[in-house]
Amino acid sequence: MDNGLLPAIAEDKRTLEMFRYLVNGSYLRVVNYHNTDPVDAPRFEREIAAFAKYFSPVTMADVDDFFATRVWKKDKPGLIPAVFEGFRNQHDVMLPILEKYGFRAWYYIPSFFMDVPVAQQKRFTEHYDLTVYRPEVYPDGRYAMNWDEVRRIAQHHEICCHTGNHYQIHRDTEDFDMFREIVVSKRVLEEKIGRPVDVFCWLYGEEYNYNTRAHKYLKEAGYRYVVSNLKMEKIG
Amino acid sequence: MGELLDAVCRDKRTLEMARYLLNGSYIRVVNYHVTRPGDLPRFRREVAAFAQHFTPVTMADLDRFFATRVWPYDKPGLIPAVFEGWRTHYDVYAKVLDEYGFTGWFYVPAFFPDVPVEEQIAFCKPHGLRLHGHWEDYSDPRCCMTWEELRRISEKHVICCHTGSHSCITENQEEAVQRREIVDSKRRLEEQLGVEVPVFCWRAGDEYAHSRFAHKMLAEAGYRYLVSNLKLEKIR
Amino acid sequence: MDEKKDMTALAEELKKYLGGSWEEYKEVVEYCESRQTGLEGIPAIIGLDDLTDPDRPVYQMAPMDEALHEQLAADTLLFTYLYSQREDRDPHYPCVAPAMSAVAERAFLLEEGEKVPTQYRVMIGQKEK
Repeated sequence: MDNGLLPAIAEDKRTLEMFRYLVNGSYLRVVNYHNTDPVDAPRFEREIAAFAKYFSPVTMADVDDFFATRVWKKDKPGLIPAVFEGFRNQHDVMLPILEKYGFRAWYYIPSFFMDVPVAQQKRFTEHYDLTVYRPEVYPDGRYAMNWDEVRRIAQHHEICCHTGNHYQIHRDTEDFDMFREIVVSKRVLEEKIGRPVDVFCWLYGEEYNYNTRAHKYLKEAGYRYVVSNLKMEKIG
Repeated sequence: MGELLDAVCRDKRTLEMARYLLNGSYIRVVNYHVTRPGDLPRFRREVAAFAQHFTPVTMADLDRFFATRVWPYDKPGLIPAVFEGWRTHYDVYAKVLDEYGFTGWFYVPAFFPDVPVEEQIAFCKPHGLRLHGHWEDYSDPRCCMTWEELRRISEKHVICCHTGSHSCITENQEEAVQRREIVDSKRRLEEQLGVEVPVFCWRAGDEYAHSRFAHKMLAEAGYRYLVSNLKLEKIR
Repeated sequence: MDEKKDMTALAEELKKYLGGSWEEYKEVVEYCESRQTGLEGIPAIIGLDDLTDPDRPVYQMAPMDEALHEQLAADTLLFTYLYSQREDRDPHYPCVAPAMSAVAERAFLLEEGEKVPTQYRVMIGQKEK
């Protein structure tokens, strides 16, 4: 067992990269949420209450300032509840809990999901790998938030772009698909919420330099940050 | 532990290099520039020691090491890396290598041999080629190898492209300049030597991922390897 | 110098530094693997990388993290190792990704005056301290 420690550490370059971020203090805590069903509300409330007790919420301005000054200005470390996929239950269940404790979340929205007709949303979730665990909660078949709900969330929380269709972008993804999923998706989101969207988040998160073909679209769209599995990278 | 960790984590390449070493993905290199006849005894001692303790590295060895991830020889590989195309490389150093049957890698600025002999000394300073007074060893002003000498060297050794004019290639240069230094340079070497030149080496340049502006030209030229300060990267 | 001996010595040093017991780390991995990631809040830690200014890599953190971050860094190495040893490991899924979630799970919080970090489960009242 002992002989395997160093080779295991060296296998994936990101292990030592993460080690270095932690030593250098360049990290943030994140708690990732997908489905937030009513049955789990008590657990979510315990979690958000604990976040509010021990950690500081993180605004976009906090991140900008942390990158600009390299100094975290609040007494408690920052924590981002990261809420993925734009599910309706994230508005109905998670939002009231966040509001109760005054804690800020970052919502990662696949922006074309909201415009899918209700009758087609089930098919859309199946096709684009958006797993709905308890469809019976919404017998009307609307699993996505509507735009009014997204706008309500946007008042006190960060809205980030999680592609348009919850679409996995590969190195060899066609140009027009990249354009739609990186650029058009952001424009739609910005038009609907009426403010800039600065953060792009891949699916299954590869870091910025993994997909150099996507760089020109990230630049054209005007994103300032790219979030992946293990990193938040400032790109502009 | 604190101070050590801070130092180790300052530059990301420290842990990258540690990872290469743990993974066995490295090769020894000894860098040479001017190789004056007065230093002949020293070169002999060095190359004799290389031949005793190490295995020379051919292009085929490197290709196979990347393909199989297995170094097939008893002794580790070592590359004598000989920079700038100086006349002394043919007259002095290559002869020592040949005495011991050891393979050298010669990094040549491809347009240097085409500079008229009477202009070569004047060409050096503005192009960052340091003469170290070695023209004193010769009665004529030629300081670069001739194409004929390079052809003879290429029979037993590896010729790599070290830009066209020993230039620093930067992001803000015109595409025509980048093409001349990266693409046309390779074509010129291949045309004169009649062999493939699969390795490009910056004059001062970063690793592949941090040199995005040059990816297009490196691909157009068809290089398979990129050599920078600390790395030899297989890029296709 | 014997290279192999050096490596083992280094590994021993690291293990000593990590403190805790292997059993505790393994239990955290087992727990992490039992979670329903689509339904629960899954703690993680993400690195911040300023690609526009890479020469200033050091950040000043909140006081809690000044005391905790080296432990988190060392845990990153250990959890990567433990994930690499799993027989059910997906060879296409890098060990560092689940490892970072395990790091966050094991030492999410350092309460004031405490020396031992608090697990995420304990913080949210899911488990007794």
